[in-house]
Amino acid sequence: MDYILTTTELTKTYGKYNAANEVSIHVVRGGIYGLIGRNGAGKTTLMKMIGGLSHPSSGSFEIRGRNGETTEQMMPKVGILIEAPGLYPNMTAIQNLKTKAIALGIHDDKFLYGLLEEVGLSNTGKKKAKQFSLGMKQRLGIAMALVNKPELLILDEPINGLDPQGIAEMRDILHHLCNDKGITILISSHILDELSKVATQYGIIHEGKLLEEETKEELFSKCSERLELKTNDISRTLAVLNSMGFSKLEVKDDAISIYERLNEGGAITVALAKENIQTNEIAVKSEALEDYYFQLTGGKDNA
Amino acid sequence: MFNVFRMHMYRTIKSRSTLVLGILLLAFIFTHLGLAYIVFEDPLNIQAGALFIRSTVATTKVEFTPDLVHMFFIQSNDTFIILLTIFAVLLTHSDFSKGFVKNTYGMFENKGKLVWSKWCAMVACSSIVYVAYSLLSLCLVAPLFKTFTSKYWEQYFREFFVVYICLIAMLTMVFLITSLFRSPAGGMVIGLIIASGLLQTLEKLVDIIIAKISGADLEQIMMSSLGIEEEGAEHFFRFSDYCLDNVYLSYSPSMGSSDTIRTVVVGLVYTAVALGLCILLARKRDVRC
Repeated sequence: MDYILTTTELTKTYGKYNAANEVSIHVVRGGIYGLIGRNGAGKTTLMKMIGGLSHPSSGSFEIRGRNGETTEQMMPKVGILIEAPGLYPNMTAIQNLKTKAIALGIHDDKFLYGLLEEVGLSNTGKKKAKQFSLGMKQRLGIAMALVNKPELLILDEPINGLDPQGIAEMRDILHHLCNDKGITILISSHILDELSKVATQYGIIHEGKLLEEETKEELFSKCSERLELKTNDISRTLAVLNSMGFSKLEVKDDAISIYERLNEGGAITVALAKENIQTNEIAVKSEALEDYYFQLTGGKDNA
Repeated sequence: MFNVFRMHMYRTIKSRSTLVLGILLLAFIFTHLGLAYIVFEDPLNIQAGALFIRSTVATTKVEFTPDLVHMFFIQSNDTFIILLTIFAVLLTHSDFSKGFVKNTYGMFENKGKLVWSKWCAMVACSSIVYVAYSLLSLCLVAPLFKTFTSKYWEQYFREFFVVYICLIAMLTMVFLITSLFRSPAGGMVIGLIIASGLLQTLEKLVDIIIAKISGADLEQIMMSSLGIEEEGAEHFFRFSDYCLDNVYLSYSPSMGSSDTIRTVVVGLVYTAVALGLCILLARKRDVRC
């Protein structure tokens, strides 16, 4: 595997409290690594250590560039957006970008305007950052994180507080950056559903500890996706399903959950129709990621 | 790190606070012109003049020389100290308060150099304000006041230089306090305390206690605390001689060269120590806002 970032037992301690406890993650180049965890789980602490904002109490991390450069040489190629975007409210979008660009020795206005276009802020003109919506501020924050043409982008809760449209726009931007520009993204969120739409790799963190690290495929195979079926006659429906060879079944209230051959919904409907059984609803349900998370972290009371 | 220095200059120039402070300074220079008229042009206000220039009792009408202009408009001008302190606090704190640091400073390996760059920007901006305020006050006073006498330029330049060193030292202390607490309140409070002269009073009290412990009589103690020592009289260690605010506020071009050198050395030492501590803090502490 070609990892752009690996951490080895990274730990951050505040007094007796372990904000991050021996966390070892492996971020594959070119993917989107989703760090899942509730508020206070240690996601931001971990990202701050990787982003050079916080000194680890113990452990280490390594960022590797295309030419084999290590952390110190790669740091200028890391873009960071920790929580709020950190804008100067009385400056325009381009002035905010320029502020960071000057600090990094970049004097290419055309490139900066290009970044604004990339995040959909090219028409903000002389509008001050304080007049921006939350979504616009977050997008400007991402543009600022892209000023140094990063290979690794660290985004901490970038969809926090956004409305559905803002979330969708953010998702599009992330897909564009990863797929079209080849930027590896380490993103954290506590909104599992949203993260599941973008991430290709997952790390589940709870109380400072990394509980699981897996690819999207591994996670989804562990999460029991199911076909949920509602008919007008449960007992006869079960008989039909048994005759079709389905064995992983579960009856909950007035619905039957089928945990195998999820692509055979059409065949099931036809078979039920032949037996004069009315199908009221048939759908693949996928909120199982949340259930899996609760199972790992010790249940809903903990979340 | 020149790029970071440029960035701080850019954001300061674009900042609304800079504009507001600039307007306030301009307003205050004109207010002070009015005060200068009362103090230096009207013989009835000689005592008031003495008060304004922190002098002892004045008996004759004061000649308005360049060094006195500087002392009146800058060194003894509480408003100027307060405004410059606010300016330094805002410049030091705004990248923390706006959260800019957390998304930018991580990519710089040497955090100490970031502090150095910010301090250089603060010194550059403060120097511009200092020079502009000095020149403007002199240019306005010279043609407008009958009592203005264009002489004692050597004293003027000495006053200009020594006060500058002390001001930079005070701003560096404000820089340290603001960085230490990551809050603008501490720095502003220090500016206000210095301007009010409260700290100076406390330092004089410490002088008296030290002299008392040394076994001096009350008259000697009082004279010593005022910096007046009779010839042949026992010399007491004065704590206030090494306190930045006191050396700044009590400096006068008429002081002897040893006192001038002490004032400059105190200013330089405070600057070096405060800046060194800031750099050390930045290296050891996490970037937070």
